[in-house]
Amino acid sequence: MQRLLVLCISLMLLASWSCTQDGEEITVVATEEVIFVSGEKIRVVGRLITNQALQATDHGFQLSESESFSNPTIISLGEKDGPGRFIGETDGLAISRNYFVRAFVNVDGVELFGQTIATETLSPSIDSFSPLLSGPGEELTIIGRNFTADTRVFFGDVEATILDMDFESRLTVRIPEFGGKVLTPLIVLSQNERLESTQSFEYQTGKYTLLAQFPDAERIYDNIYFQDQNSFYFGLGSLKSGASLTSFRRFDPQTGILSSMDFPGETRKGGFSAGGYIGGGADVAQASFKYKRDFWKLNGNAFERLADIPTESFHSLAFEANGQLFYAGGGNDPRAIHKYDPRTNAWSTSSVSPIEFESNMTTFTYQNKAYFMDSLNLIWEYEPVSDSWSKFTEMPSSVGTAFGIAQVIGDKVYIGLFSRSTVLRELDMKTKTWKTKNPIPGLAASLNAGAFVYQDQLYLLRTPEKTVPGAPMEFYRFEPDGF
Amino acid sequence: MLRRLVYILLLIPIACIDPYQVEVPEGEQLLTVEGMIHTGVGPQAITITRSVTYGSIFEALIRPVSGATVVIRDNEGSVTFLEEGTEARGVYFTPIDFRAEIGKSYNLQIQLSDGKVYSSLPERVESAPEIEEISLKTVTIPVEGETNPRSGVQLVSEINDPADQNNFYFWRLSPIVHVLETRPDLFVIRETRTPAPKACCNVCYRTEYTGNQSLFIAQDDNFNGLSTRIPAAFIEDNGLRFVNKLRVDLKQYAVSQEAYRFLRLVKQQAEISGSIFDPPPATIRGNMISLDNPDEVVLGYFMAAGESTKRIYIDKSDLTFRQNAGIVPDDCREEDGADINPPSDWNPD
Repeated sequence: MQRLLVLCISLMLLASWSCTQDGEEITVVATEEVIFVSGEKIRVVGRLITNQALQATDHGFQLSESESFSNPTIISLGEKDGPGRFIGETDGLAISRNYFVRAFVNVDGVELFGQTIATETLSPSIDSFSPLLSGPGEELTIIGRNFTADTRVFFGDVEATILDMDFESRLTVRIPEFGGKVLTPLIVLSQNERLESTQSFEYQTGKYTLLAQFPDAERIYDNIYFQDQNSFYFGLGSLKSGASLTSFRRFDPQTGILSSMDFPGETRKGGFSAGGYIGGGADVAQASFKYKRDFWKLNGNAFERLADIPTESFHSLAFEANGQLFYAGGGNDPRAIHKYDPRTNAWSTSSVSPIEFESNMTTFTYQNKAYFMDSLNLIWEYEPVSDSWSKFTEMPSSVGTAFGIAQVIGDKVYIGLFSRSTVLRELDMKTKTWKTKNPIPGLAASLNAGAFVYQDQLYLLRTPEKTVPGAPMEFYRFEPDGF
Repeated sequence: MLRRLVYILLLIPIACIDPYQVEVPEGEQLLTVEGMIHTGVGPQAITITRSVTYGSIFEALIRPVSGATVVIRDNEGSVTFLEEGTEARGVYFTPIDFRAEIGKSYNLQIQLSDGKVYSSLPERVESAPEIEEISLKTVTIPVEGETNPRSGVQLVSEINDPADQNNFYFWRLSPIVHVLETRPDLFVIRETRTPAPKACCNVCYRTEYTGNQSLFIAQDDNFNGLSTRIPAAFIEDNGLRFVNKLRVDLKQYAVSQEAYRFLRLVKQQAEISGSIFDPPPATIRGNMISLDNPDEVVLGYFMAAGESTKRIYIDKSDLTFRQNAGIVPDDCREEDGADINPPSDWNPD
């Protein structure tokens, strides 16, 4: 009986002892991590850890510039039911400033705080922008960091419209009107911190002045054009009506006078011309295709007939270098180049070229070397003295079906106005860099009937395609650096 | 007595045919984010998918999450925009010139087309020790009921672990390139079963995405500051890969402690064998958070790591055991990823 009593007492003691393990309440608030901080925005993660089913009347974060949290900014997330993670976010902070942040939870009027984390808002900066060259009204993208909501963008002194801002790092702006400087600094103001791009933005230039319009009936096709020091010449080919044009028009850019000039040879289509030389082509008005082999040179006000060209030629590419005339392709051999020496009045043939010359290719001459643009957008360089070829550079965009123009002013070449394109580009022959110039006004469905250079300005004769009714032929002056 | 026993025995099977109805709660299609940025060459990829639902009936497929805005932001505020692959929906690629920088922390931010925003916790990029040497070990794995074991090559990375930092290693393999030998002279037209030997070609170079056969990870608790050798990858011999030469780049990553913990848990779950000592299956929390609802479960982990890489050419003679050479009775160029020309940087000597 005594043993039984001892056993009962022991069991009672054991039972009461186990009950004392229960009842300890644990509630902890943790400021876990600052997961995002930018120029003016902060995002913090906190956590409420508890073994109780508690109801917090408020929770969130306190943010202050002082570690004592005097006058803190409260990020209130409202009531919270039970434990778990919470995320707080606020903006409107000052850039490049030290802040202290801690999580809080308010339970039954008692505020519990997490540990304090120190952080610093970041400063804005510009990394890059593109395009580097463009025109008013176009969009430009600035890549940078930590732009604030009040960011403003200026092109020099002219403010641009901000269209979009992504992730505080990518600004899309509309380029404002020209402020007077072609090269202008790009300035970004974020919370009154002034940021200036290391590279200047360049306004796209190129001013076109319409000098004359020709009546619809005057539209010419398949013509030849060339120039001497004082005058531009365009002619032969045919009119829109289909009638052959047997003469040339001469334009004097000094006086602006347009006059007519007779040609002693027969008219033709697809002839070549360069440096006052004229030759090749064919009479396609006849039932049979009749090639022209006569070859001429303009001397003063008269044409002089020279030795006939050695091959048939139709839409050959011609150029003048070192006082000699060359024509390439256009006959039975699309890789052949024929050379005329005025001292001997005789023709010879150069070595076979690595490219096939096509009638739609564009060519120009610079420092007595010839350049050809192929259909793969490559520009080939031909050195006539050594009779050698090399790849020079590449066009930044497709030449399409070509039939463009290429004219040299100083060290710059103006290339473009390819078929159904109004784009004109500038190639710097020294640096091999390209710049896009302003597009030519008028119809894109126009052909190039003439391109001339006079006093560092380009003169362009554009004739609408045959299918375009009513539109006149237009004559423009182009100032490369004009605005 | 016997009659009663018979009745009782008859009752037992009747009771057993009642099906047990399991009520499994309908699972959600959870957002899953996988990806790693590193200091190696790009482009680097982040994959975003929705997991399949689970329930009493298996339904749906893992769906790619398309049309999201995905950016990577460093601790200085520089943001890199990722572009979704045109042929890989739900896979977002960094620009090709993007490389993570050692010492910087990176966040992944995702905005879905429905406006929901997700962010990762910051991941700091640590430098990865160089791979000093790669040694090879032929491994055979007995297969129950088969006379021939599975086999392959284990790549063992030799590293000088830095003493001044706690390192967490993770290894992956680049696509392998191996010489593929086939028998075009044995080609048979399948439909008519007519022999039609082909004149070409019996030797090609095949690129294969084998992946790593397991998760190869390690931490330096036991070898901090020491030179050590750790199994880092395994390439299975399928009878075609090791008939001549095979090339692979072993990539060694220095991941964060949290990323290592995640990978270790994934490895544990993936290698559950069904024994009573296995850890119970559980959802492994990653480092992605929904900013709209912090309680939302987001699967996966965004990692940022330093990378070191070493290339190795494995000759058939390096293996102590090889599978019987497989016979491919066709022009080798007909095989996926095969080309008659070696890669431009193929240099086994």
